[in-house]
Amino acid sequence: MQLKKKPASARRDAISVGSALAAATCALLGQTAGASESVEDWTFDSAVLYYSESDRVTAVEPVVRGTRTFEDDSELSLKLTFDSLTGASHNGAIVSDTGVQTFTSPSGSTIYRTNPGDVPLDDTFKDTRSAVNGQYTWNLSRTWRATTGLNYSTEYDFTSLGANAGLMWDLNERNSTLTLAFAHESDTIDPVGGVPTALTWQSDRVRTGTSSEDRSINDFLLGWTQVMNRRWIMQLNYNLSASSGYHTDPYKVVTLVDAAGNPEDSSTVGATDIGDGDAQLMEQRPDSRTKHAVYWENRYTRQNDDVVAMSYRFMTDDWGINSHTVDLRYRWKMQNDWFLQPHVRWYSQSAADFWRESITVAEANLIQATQDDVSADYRLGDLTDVTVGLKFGRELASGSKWNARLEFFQQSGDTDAADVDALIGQVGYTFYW
Amino acid sequence: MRTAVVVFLVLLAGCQQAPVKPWERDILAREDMIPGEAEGLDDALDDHIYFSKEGSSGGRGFGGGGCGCN
Repeated sequence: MQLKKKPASARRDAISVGSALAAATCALLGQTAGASESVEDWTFDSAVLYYSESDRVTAVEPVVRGTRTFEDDSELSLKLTFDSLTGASHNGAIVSDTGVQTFTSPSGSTIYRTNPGDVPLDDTFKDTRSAVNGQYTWNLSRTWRATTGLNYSTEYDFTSLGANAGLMWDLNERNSTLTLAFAHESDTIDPVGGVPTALTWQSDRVRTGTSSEDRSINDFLLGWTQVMNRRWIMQLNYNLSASSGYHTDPYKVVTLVDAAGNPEDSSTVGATDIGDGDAQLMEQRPDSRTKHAVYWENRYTRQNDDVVAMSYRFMTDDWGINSHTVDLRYRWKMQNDWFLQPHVRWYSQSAADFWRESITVAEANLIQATQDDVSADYRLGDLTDVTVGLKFGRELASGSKWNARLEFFQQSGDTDAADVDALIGQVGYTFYW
Repeated sequence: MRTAVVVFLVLLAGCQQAPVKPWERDILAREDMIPGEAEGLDDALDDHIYFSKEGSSGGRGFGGGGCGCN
């Protein structure tokens, strides 16, 4: 699924090695993953996600995952994901209260305008994505397990191919598991209309002459899963991610403004005139990024069998972004195998060093002269997000399970473009075959 | 910062009670007590949403085939 318009840094589902970590935890708990399946049966988890923003993107994402555990306790997991995306995406320009702004579409073939007070949105895209993941986990000895996986994802302007491998070691009477894993991902970005030359004016439609750009990502993960007591388990992960290559979003611009903050015309900088407020600079991001993330999850079962789950993540990177994420769920066990689960998530991030809401002529001249980085993508600015939701479901007599959730996601930041409201709906069904 | 991390890890290790025996793991073996498994496909779907809308990612796991959405 692609909820925002195109590229810069890669996407990872956090699924492959996440599944392996879950498998490691299962080994630690002395059982096979997918608690109730029998050996050599397939367990199928399926879901359809619906995501809809007010006036912007709508996505529908069906996904199915088949997992089979063999007699030697090894496990194979295969996953298919499809995305369908429609709607409009913020193009990076400011929300001006006073002036009309004019832009070219990504292909450069059409021109569109944004009226004063409106968030500049590019509505010319529609996309689908297909992704497949495979992961195999097996025992090396009574206390050591290994895992390896492949993943491939494709959409019309982006292709990703990745591989991962990891080791899990059970110790302390299988009350502890240490995980060490590596992953490599190679991405190819093929922007519609060619690769724009960064820091040029959008109205000039300057292209680099190359049809695609590349990016590679190396991930390292060190995990510690610990049984604290009969009712409490925790997981602590450290994740280092280093990427190099093309991180720029080829569809994002930065608005040139006058001293009063109003959009400038391209004639101010000698660029091609396509209309009012058309001085929009193509953004540029660094060609590398190093991220450090620490993730801590706790799950605790109360005396009445209700489960409290809490997680916290701290992330910091060399772009200057620091973020905190807190996630809290309470699974309320009801009669007849029903459950009800309220969910709250809170997220806060600081802005990247090169983020600007807009730039002046003097700043643009300096940035162009020094080839400095600049982006107005609100996702790299100060941001605070809140998600509130409710999930419910039931296990049926056959052992199959279904669930549904409804959540509300709200973003806010320093700019009007960052104010996003979204509805998240999902239905899921698990069965054995 | 490093001191705080060390103190946190020591406190965490200190919180662990006597090792839980295999026959005492009825509660821990439930699917809703397994990190990464308890929420089924939700974790991956959520990671995808938030990766697309925020400047952060990672921590819970990695690898899975991307999109160019950030």
